[in-house]
Amino acid sequence: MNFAEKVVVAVGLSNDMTDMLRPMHEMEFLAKSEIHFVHIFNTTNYTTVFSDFPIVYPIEADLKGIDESVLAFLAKAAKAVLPEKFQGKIIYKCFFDPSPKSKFSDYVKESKANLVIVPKREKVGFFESSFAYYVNKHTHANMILLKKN
Amino acid sequence: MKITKLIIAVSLEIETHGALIKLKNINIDFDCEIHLVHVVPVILYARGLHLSALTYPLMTERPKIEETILGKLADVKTEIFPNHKNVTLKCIFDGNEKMAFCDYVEHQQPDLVVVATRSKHGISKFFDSSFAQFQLGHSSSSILVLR
Repeated sequence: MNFAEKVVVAVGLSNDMTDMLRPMHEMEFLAKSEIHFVHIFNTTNYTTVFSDFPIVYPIEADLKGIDESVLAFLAKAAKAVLPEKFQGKIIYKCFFDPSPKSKFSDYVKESKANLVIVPKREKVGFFESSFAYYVNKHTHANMILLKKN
Repeated sequence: MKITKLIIAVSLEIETHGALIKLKNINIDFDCEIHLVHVVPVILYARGLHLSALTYPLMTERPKIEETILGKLADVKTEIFPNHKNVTLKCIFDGNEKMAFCDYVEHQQPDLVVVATRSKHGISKFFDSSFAQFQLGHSSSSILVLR
């Protein structure tokens, strides 16, 4: 079995995300893979003294617009980073969750992916990305951590 | 990313062998520089009343251990990279395996580092490879973790 048959890629929304994922362009083993480009939008719950109900950001009225924007971003990033002779299947997903690490790991498990690709900025010490660390610990998929030089 | 230099951490444990075999699925160029690296843990202990420090394995034992390990790495090379010409076999003795491997990667500056884990499940997953976790956090290169 190809170890990259089903691939889930964690995509952030920063300006340099396409550069960080660009090494995928030369990964020929992805040519026939099913690739899921996934972004988890971090939601935040606020409680106020004026209401018994928490306020969730982003508010429900904004969700559709954010979802459309994110999916468009994912499609643009995918076009820039996929291998030249890509013949596989592409899926775009945008989720809203207060715990992006946990939601992403759950998605990897649910989709039964055998490879996860996570880009990571070059930070050291206390500011190391805990996202990749968490995903590696909580999923059974193979993992490629792309580090920006 | 074009892989011109690849460093693979080889643990020699049977559980990781199945994971390493997956490297055959990646078409690595025959002229790629490949390093198969195994780090032998060195334990430092004090003995007797003279407070002399000893290491295990002893210095006299190391050449024999190194020869055995290089032989094992050669078997891995034959199985996974039979047609690759530029393969370096490396055996390192160090008290801190994780850091020693990390330092080697830092020095070599590869395009990709490969680490295979034992992929434990259930309650035993709390004891899953901390080696891979360490490399994820401290290595300066991109990493492929195979299970």
